[in-house]
Amino acid sequence: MSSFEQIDRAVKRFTRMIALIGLVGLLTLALATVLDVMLRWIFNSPIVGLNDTYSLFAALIIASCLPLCIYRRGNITIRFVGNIFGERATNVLDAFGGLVSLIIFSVMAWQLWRYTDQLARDGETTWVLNWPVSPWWRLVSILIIICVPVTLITVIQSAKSAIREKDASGRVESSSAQPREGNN
Amino acid sequence: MDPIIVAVLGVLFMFLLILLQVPIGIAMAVTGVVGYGLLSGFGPAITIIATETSSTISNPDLAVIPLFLLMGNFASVAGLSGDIYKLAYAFLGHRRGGLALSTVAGCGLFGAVCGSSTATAATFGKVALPEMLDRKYAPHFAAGCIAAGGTLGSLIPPSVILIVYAVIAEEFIVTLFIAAIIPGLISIGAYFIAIMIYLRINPKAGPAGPRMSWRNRFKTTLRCWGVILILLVVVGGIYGGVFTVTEAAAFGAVLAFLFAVGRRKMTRRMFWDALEGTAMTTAMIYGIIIGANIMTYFVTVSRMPDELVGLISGSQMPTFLVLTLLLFVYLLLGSIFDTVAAMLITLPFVLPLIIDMGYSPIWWGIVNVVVIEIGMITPPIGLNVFVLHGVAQDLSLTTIFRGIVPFLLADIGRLIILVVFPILIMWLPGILG
Repeated sequence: MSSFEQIDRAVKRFTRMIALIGLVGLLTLALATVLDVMLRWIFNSPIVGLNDTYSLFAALIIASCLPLCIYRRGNITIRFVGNIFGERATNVLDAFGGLVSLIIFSVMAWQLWRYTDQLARDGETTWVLNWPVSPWWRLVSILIIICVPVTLITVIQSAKSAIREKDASGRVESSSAQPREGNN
Repeated sequence: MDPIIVAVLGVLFMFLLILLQVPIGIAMAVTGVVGYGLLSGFGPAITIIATETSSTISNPDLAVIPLFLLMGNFASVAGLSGDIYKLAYAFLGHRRGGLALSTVAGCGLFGAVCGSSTATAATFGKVALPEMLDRKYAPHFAAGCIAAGGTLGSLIPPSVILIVYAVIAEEFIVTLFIAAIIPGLISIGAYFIAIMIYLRINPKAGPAGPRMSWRNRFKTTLRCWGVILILLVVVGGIYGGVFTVTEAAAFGAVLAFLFAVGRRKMTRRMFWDALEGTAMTTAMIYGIIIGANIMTYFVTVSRMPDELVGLISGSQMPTFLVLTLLLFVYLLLGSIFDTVAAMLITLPFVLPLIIDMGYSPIWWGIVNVVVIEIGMITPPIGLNVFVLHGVAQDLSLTTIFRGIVPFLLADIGRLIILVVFPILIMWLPGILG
């Protein structure tokens, strides 16, 4: 197995693990919400500040889903042109789409990191619980930073597939040319 | 450069990127940043990537989307779609085309625990299609029922696309859910009528099943208590004002999870698969929303929507004609793009125009979903058709498209009704607040 394939496998497992941790967090948040409602009904005593943490948890959960979606190419893409021009064109265009995504995720990661710095400097906290918000956003920034190499992996995958397609079509052409030469 | 020219070039650039296989959300984000940069400087343009991303992913209203998606995935694992189908069949199966009627009713009910058009089509493709083919239903008719019935998933509340629309258009989610009730019932009614008329012409396409006694119907209903409970808690809770939408979504997800565990269907593999499915769809939807929010920034600064409104108002074009043109464009977009993408790409331009023409954003939200969903079963692409083809590969695309014709006619009929009589959408929100 080549070193790229090993990295690819590791990225696959890693993105899946991050998403699953995030979604287990979502299920926990759902359970906490149910508990909050029950406590409110039965004892008139809801969980203090649960709503306060919703935005922070939501940001972390959503950010945890992004690397998996990028790795699996789950973002909606129209492959109309690629389908017209064949497999190789699809891979070349996928690589191009990946490169554009790479730029956006790089800028997003950089800007979110700076945004978190700003939150830390301002000492921003949640309204009710007074929790500092910057550590949460630091985690979100790290998750977005993870999206950058994951996107790069998809670009390399597409580029490799495009090159393989080219080699394959080249072999087909040369093999189909050989009999003609022989016949001559 | 004139901001309007920048905006027009921006829109063309965005479509070019989309054609070049750049993911739709990314294409919108790039266009938004470059366009905003050209108009207001690249320093502020780059910062909107962080501000829009952070405000979107931490928006508590949008956070109900992954919860509803989780509920839908757990409901599928729990086999609740099968229960819904059996329940609908108990009451409708003895009629001519009983399984087709049950499929449409089942899709409507499952839409209430799932919220997604493609997920509903895929689920019923697995549950209802084999059953209909076993009972000698014409394959094209069976497939048409499911692909069209799937579109109900986006309209029947709680619906993911209505939540997205409500947040972007700054309307109350519950108001949109209430507004969708009558159009949802009209849609089911229209499909029922389409089935009955079609079977009057082609009686062999959908034979009747045996009639179930009232005793057995009662038993079936009791056996389906799980899905009835979830529907009561989620839908009843929201409409009854017992829960907020977030609380209802949380209850729905937890109940669906408990049902799947209680029925011993939640293996470790199924659990991870449900979570993965939720993660993928969540990220896909958020990717488009983030891109659309960045794009909206640029479009608003360019004042293009105002110019568009002024241009159309100044042209004295009748409102009816403008609406008809818009609906055609959406039909086209719906047949090419996913529902969320088709809506969000156009909303910054279209919503100001709709409001200027004197229509309510609530009314437009429902009409918009209806027309885009019709696009989901319209050739040449029609996403639901491809989803169903993915589930049942023995059925050719031509067969499925052939089966859709009666439902497409019914769809056009219901769309005309909803456009001509806005009261059908606005009446319930008016009286229920």
